[in-house]
Parts: sequence; C-alpha cells; structure tokens
Amino acid sequence: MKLTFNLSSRIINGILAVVACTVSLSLSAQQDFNHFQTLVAQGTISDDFTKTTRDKILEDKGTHGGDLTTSQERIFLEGIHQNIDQLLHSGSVIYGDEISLYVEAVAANLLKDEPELLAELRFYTIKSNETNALSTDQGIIFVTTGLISQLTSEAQLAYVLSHEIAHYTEKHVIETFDWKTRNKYEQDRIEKLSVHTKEHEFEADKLALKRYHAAGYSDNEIISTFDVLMYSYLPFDEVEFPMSYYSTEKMYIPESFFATKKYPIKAEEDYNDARSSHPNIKKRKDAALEALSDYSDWGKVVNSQGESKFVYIRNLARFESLRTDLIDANFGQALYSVFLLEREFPKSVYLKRMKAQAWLGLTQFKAENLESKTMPGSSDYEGESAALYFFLKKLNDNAVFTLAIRNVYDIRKELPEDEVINGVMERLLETIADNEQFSLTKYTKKNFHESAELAKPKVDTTQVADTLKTEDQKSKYEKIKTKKTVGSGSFDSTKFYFYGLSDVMLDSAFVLEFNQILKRITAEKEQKIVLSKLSAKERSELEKAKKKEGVNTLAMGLDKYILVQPGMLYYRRTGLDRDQSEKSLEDLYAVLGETSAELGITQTTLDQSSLATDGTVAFNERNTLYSMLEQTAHYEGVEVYPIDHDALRVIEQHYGTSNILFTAVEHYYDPEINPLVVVVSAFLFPTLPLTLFGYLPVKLLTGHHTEITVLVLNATDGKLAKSSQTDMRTKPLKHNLGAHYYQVLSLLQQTPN
Amino acid sequence: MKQSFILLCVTLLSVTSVWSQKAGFYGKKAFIEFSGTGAAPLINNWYNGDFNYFEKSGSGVVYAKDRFNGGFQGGVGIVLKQDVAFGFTTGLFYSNAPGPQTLYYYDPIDDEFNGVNVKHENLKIRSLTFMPTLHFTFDKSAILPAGLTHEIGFGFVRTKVIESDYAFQGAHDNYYNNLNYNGNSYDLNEFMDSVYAESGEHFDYNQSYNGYTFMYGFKMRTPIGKQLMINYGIRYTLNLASKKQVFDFSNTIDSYETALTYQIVDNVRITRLRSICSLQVGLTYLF
Repeated sequence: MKLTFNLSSRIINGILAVVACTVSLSLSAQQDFNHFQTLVAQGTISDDFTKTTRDKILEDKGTHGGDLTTSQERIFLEGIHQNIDQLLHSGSVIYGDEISLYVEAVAANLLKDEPELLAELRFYTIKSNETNALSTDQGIIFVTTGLISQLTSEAQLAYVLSHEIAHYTEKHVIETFDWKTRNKYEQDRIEKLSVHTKEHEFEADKLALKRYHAAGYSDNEIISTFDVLMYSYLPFDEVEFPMSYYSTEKMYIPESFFATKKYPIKAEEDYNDARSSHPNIKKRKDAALEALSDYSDWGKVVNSQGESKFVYIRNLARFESLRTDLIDANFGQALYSVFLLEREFPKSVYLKRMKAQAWLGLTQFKAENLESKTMPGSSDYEGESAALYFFLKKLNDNAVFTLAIRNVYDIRKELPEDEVINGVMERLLETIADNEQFSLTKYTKKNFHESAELAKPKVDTTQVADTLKTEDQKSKYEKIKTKKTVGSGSFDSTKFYFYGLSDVMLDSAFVLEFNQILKRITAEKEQKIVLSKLSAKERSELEKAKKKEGVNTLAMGLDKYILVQPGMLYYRRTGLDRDQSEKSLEDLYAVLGETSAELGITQTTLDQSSLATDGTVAFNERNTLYSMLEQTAHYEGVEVYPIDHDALRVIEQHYGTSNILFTAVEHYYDPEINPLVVVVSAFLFPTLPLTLFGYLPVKLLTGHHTEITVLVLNATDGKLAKSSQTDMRTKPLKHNLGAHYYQVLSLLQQTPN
Repeated sequence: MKQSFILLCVTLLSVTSVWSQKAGFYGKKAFIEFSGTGAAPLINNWYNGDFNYFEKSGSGVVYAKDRFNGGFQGGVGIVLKQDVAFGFTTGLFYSNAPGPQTLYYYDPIDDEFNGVNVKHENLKIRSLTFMPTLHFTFDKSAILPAGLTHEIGFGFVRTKVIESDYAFQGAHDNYYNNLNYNGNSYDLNEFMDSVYAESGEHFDYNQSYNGYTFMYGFKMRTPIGKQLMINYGIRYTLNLASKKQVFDFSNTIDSYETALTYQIVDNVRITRLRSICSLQVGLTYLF
C-alpha cells in the first residue's frame, strides 16, 4: 500500500523515473575510490524482495511434503521465510551491485556445466563485517562484504561459493530441520546436533572441491581459504601502525602513548568444536588435504576475472566495511581501516569523511564515557591494529578532543567546501563545548617543541650589566644576576595536547566559530543547570505549570513525513501470530494514512509495497533510511551524524521533507494475575466477590500490552527529532491505534513554543 | 428535580471550560452513552433466600427467586485530561422487592385493625438515578474514553413502586384463600377488594422514596469506529435510604395504609441496599 498526498501518482512516478535514471547512470560506471559512494542495489528488483512472506509460504506449500507432516512443513516454511525475509529487508542486503555481479560471475564459472542449477540460484551481498557466506533453502546465496574484504583471490571466493552451493543441492537446511524435529527431546541435543551439522560441513567441503576442481581453480588456494576464515576477526590487513601517524610536527605525542610491544595472534586452529555447528579449522584443513588427493590435473586459475578486477571488488568491500564499522560505532577499527586504505588512496574524499566521522564518534562516546564500546578490550588485542587501540585507549578526554579537532581541522583545510566535513566539525565543536573538561583558552599558540624550548632556563640578560669584569672581579650579587633565569615555567609535557593546536589557535575564524558555539551551548547548559538546582517539589510544580500552559514536548511543526516500513508483531502464548500481525499491520497503515490526512499532514510511504511499484530506487532509499536507524540504535543516545549524508539529501529532495518516521507496534497478552491473591481470596470469603468481580476482570481486561514506538529522525542532520514510546493496555484494534497515532501526530504537528 | 438540575448545570459548566483543551479520542472530547444494565442477584439468592418472594401464578402466587433485575442509563461526559473525564448519568433501574406479609383492614364492628397474613406477589420497583460521575484510569497511555476506566459517582436516587394488579393469597396453607370474618367465610381477594372499594386504595403509588446513591464501576470501551464504542463493565451501586424517611410514613398510625406502607418501604429499602452489583453493556458516541 502506498499512501501519498498532495502529489499525484503521475508526478511521483515521473520523479521516481528521473531519480531511477539518475541513480543508474551515476552508478553504472566503476567506482572512483576517491569519491566512493556506498554500494546500492541495481537493476530490476526480484520477487525475493517484493513478494510477501505469506505469499512465499503459500507458494512453497506442498513442495517439502516428503518426510514432513503438514504441521512440520508449516513450521519449516514459516521459519525459513520469516528469517530470510527479515534479512532481505534488513537494509543490509543489496542485489545487482558490482560485488553481487562479481559473485554471480564466479558462481557461473563454477556452474558452467550446470546451467539449470545456476538459474535456480540468486546471489546477494550483505553489508556486514562478519566474514560469512550462507545459502538458503530458497536458493539464495548471500556473501558478506566482510568476507570479500578478507580474501586474497577469486579462487578463495569460488571455494566458499562452491561450499554454499553444495549445502543447497544437498538440502542441508531441511535435513537439519528434520533432525531437530525428530530429536527434540534427545539427551545432549546440542552436542548431537553439532555432530550432525559438522557432517554437513564436511560433506559440503568435499563436494565443493569437485566443482572447484572442474572450474580449473588452483589447488594452492584451498587451504588459504581456511586461513581467511580463521583470521577473519582481524582487520583485512596486518600493517604496522607507526607512531608518526599521529605524533607529528604539529602535534607531538609522547612515546609512552604508543605500545612498545607487539601483540601476538592467539587464534588456534584446533579449538574445541564440541558444541559448534562447524568443525574446527584444523579438522577442515585435514579433511580438505585428504580429499585433494582424490583429484589430479589441478588447474592454475586464481583470478578468472582478472586480478585487477578481484582487487577492485575487494576494495569495494573494504570501503564498505569502513562504513559498516562507523554504523556499528566501531571507531577504533574504522580508524585502522582508514589508515590501511589511505596508503593506496591518499586523496580519497570518502576516507577523509570517514576519518572525520570516526573522530567525531570517538569524541562523542568519550564525552559520554562510552569509549569502551568503540574498540576491543585490551585482552583482545592482537596483531598490528592493537597498537592503534592501545594508543586510543591511553588518551584522556582532552587528548581525544584535541586529536579530533586536529584531524577534522586538517581535513577541513583540504576540503573547505565539503558539507559533510563542515557538518562534522560543527557537531564536534558542539560536543566539545558541552564538556566541562575542555577549555580552548588552555591551548597555546606555540607547538610542543616551541613551548618546550621557551620553557628552557635562560639568563635574564636584562638584569646583567654590560661589564668587562672577570668572574673573580664580580661581586656576589653580580654573579647571582648572571645565573638568574627566566622562562614560562608553565610548560607541562604531560599535557602535550595543549600544544597540539598551535596553528589552529592562530586561526581567528576557527576561534570565533568555537566561541560562538560555546556561547550557545553555555546558554543552553545554564538553563539546564537552573532546572537541575530546583528541588523536586519546585520541578514538579514547574512541570505542572508547563502542562497547564500546554507545553508539548513532541511539538516540532510536522507537516510532511516519510513513513518507512512500519512494523507490527502480534504475539500469542505460542509465539508470533503472523496472520494477526499482517491484519493489524493493514490497520496500522490505514490509521496512519487516515489520521495524517485528517490532520493535514502529508505522508509518503516507503515500504515493501513501494518496492513492487517503485522498484530499486525505493529499495535503495529504504536501505539508506534503515542504515540511519541502525546507526542511531548503535550510538546509544549519542547524536548521530548520518553516515549516508549525500544519499539522505537526495531522499530529502525527492520527497520534499527531512522528517523520517519509523514506527513499530508489538503486542502481547499478559494479565499478570497474582495467583496468591486468588487463592487467599478464596479462603477469606468476603474478598472472593471482590476478586471475582473486581480484581480478575480488571486484570483480564488490561492484560494487553501494545507497545508503540514512534521515532522521527531528521535526514539532514541525523538527529532524533522526536520520539514517543507507549505501552497501550488495550488490543491493537484499528481505532485504538488510530486514536493513539492521531494524538502523537497532532502533538508532532504543533509548532514548538 | 431541583437537585438534578443543579448537577446538570455543574456538568455543562465543566464541559464549556475544557472544550478548548487538546485531549480525547481522535481529538473528540465529549461523549454520550447508553447502557443496558442487568443484575442477577445470585449471591443474595444463594446466601439469603427470600422466603417472602412470590411470583404471580394464575390468580394466586408461587414461591420464586429474584432472578433478574435490569434497567438502562444514559449519560454525557467530557474528557478533561487524557486520563480523566467527567460525566453526568441518569438511569432507570427496575428491580423486585418482596411484597407485604400482612394486609390490614378495618373492622367497624370491633373498631380495630385486623391483619391477614398473605403471600403477596413481589413488588416491581423503579429507581431513577441522577449522578455526576468521574471517569479515570491509572493507565497513563490511555486515551479516554477508550479503554478501561474506573468510574465513581455520588448522586440522588428516587424509587417508586410500579402500579400493577398485584396478586396475593392467604398465607395459611390450610385456609388458603379464605377469610373468616364475623363467623362468615369470604374469598380473601374479594373481601379485600370490597375493603378497598369502601376505603380506597391500600397503597399510594405516587409515594416515592428518595435517597442517595454511591456508585463505583469499571467499564471497558472498545472502539468500533472513530466515534462509536461498545462499552461493557461492572457497576457497584449502593442506594441509601435514610431511616428518617422510613419513619416519616408512620405518622398516621390509625391508617391501615400506613401500616402497609411501612412494610413496603422497609422491603424497598432492603432491596435497594442489596442491589449492589450489575453488569452493563451499551454504546458510547463521541462528538
């Protein structure tokens, strides 16, 4: 269902066609890594994305009937389709992009003698830093950007794909389901299931070799594929992180801030896999080596599509991984990835933006004492990247703030007109100005070395008379004066960061910019302080007065918004009721459309039904908005600077609004009846009628929990504009939902005072 | 009626003062509702059987139990805040009270009042209620009037016995419907009819019994449209009749009507006291 107001569908379709054309034109050429744009889906959208889960289940009904009862088949189909559709619509999956096409080409090479099988399969890319590939019973093979970024050859990808194709052809998904169904109450079930799935993995590895060999790939790449899997938890390259990367002429950082030792790689091949779905790497390697001997005439192909193509595709994945790290708030990893990629792409605007955003994120998390979430713990330090984590962890608040300003300032010098860099700088200064530990006045206009030089003791020449007397001829007081020194005396080498912005301090425009932000933030803070000094009673009175005055905290003057795929989950005691969820979702759509129209708010919907009508453009737009939501979720209340700034601008222009509305409803029934109350009342006669005609009916009637979340995000600045969360104690009937959304939307519509 | 008029005025004043506020279901703050009310006095019948409760059967009566009382009510309300509403309710409730156990007649020969023990058909009584009500909920997410609300009210109730051709028969099983008067045997009904014909009606149906009513209830309103809801719930009503009113009727002790009235008033009072719990279901319209 697509609900649009004000604009006729003809105009909207016209705009969509223009945007679709623009997007496909701009992305049909190879990526310029200096101006990298995140990968988007391309081409025609497939049924995998446009069909509803219900339709897929109905279509597949009866096709798995062999050993499964009707009820088991229903559970199986619901399970696979719900989970895979959740992934397909997560915002992380793309199709028709360069990586997916490359993967498909490699698969085509593997299946050149099996065209029917190739035709059954679809290949999609997941933007995820997990190193993984998976195949589904439906014939979809997913490959993560994390996996591609770690590979060293196309042949390794071919082996992984061949393994996944074997899972599909051997129907391992349904076999595992069947095993789980038959062994529901088995003792040591997890261990036994582990044995069962490991057999599948060995079988898939063995069958993978057959197609891999037939395609002419080199046997030298097989064992190294297992190394990829083994060390995938490390960054995509192991390059020594030099002190000079951060300790520069402009900003000296003492050596003590850098790790003096190397952090060894601890991974073991022969780990305990008793409860794992996969055998450990050693067992897989051993089995593969044994199976290798079954084949002769090994080919020599390492990159059938050409090495440069492979490296290009891998770079795409690596650039994507950086974006994923920022969405996931893994700022330490993001900075290490920037360090690795900068060596090859020193002029990349994308990398500079990512670096600026990583420093902004680090600053924001540091200011909120959340920095431990942005990089691995010290016990997990391994390899070269550990040196960077060690360094970042040693920095105190002011050091992080200084390095952030230092880096973003330098990037802005290079890209003064860049909207993202300017936006990041503004957000950075807002964050720092809001922190009590930071004071720009403590920063000197001389760098560390200059300040250190100045601080060296010197003879006070002004006090020494110009005389030709020898040392013996001088009086005691003349001798003292020749030894008396002057100097700043205030130089403190431990606070190296105060000397790290010497050139910045000389930039009056920057100082003015900071002071203006500081003034604004200070005024806002003072208002907050006044409030915090009030007693509980005074605060309560103030709140009452505000309520009386009708102060509306949701007021934002909402007049137009993009509704992104609302969610509705209706749970029963036995689990998710898909039918009821879909029925209630229809109601939700209807009430959102109706109430918006009634209030005169223009709503445009971007959801699964938009995909069927508006295709890939709508799909990519929805993915961008999902990424924004995901980033907001990972940032734990810290104000996000949107990672896809440019794409969001396009969406904003397309729909004429920056208001993105996400909403989800979850319902379950739990009357929370206290059995003790019932039992006690049964024995204490006078209370029994009260229980029967008071306590129980009230509890039963109010046992519904309908949790409604409404988020309005601003696409321009990525900030969470408004949010509302309600636990409605009634069923999510159409008009209960309608009244709630009417209220929320009317409050959002009001203009703030 | 003056009392209820004042209450209505208070309600309308409240409505006017909150009209401009932002609250209510789909922004609608005022509502009217009608409900049917029913009660089966099961507990009363179970624990406190009415041995004097009789239903008409042919020309006589048979022992029975009070199975169902019911009525209807209507009201208006206004949502003051998201979780508080104010309303005014008026309603009629029909219930059954045991009839008198003794009928009196004046014996001019002996110049005295004589009583005849009878089994009298239950009296149908009607209570008219006027009551301001406060609707509230502890659920901060609620948007009144939808959802579960608690209601309390305190108001005025007026009860009357409904005029009817009530049946009765002699209480003594051996004599059944015969009355021995001055050595002659008469049919009890015919005898009393002649007494009434001579002395006038034995009971004043226009007499009403005023009192106060206190109500607590909880009601679920489930929306079936933007302006229409089904309401259902349980209502506890305590109708109080002051003793003073009861004794007011004893001021003409030389009248047999008074003696009869005394019995009826007492039965009405007891009935009103025990009509505590009732179920209600109806419709609510928002505007």
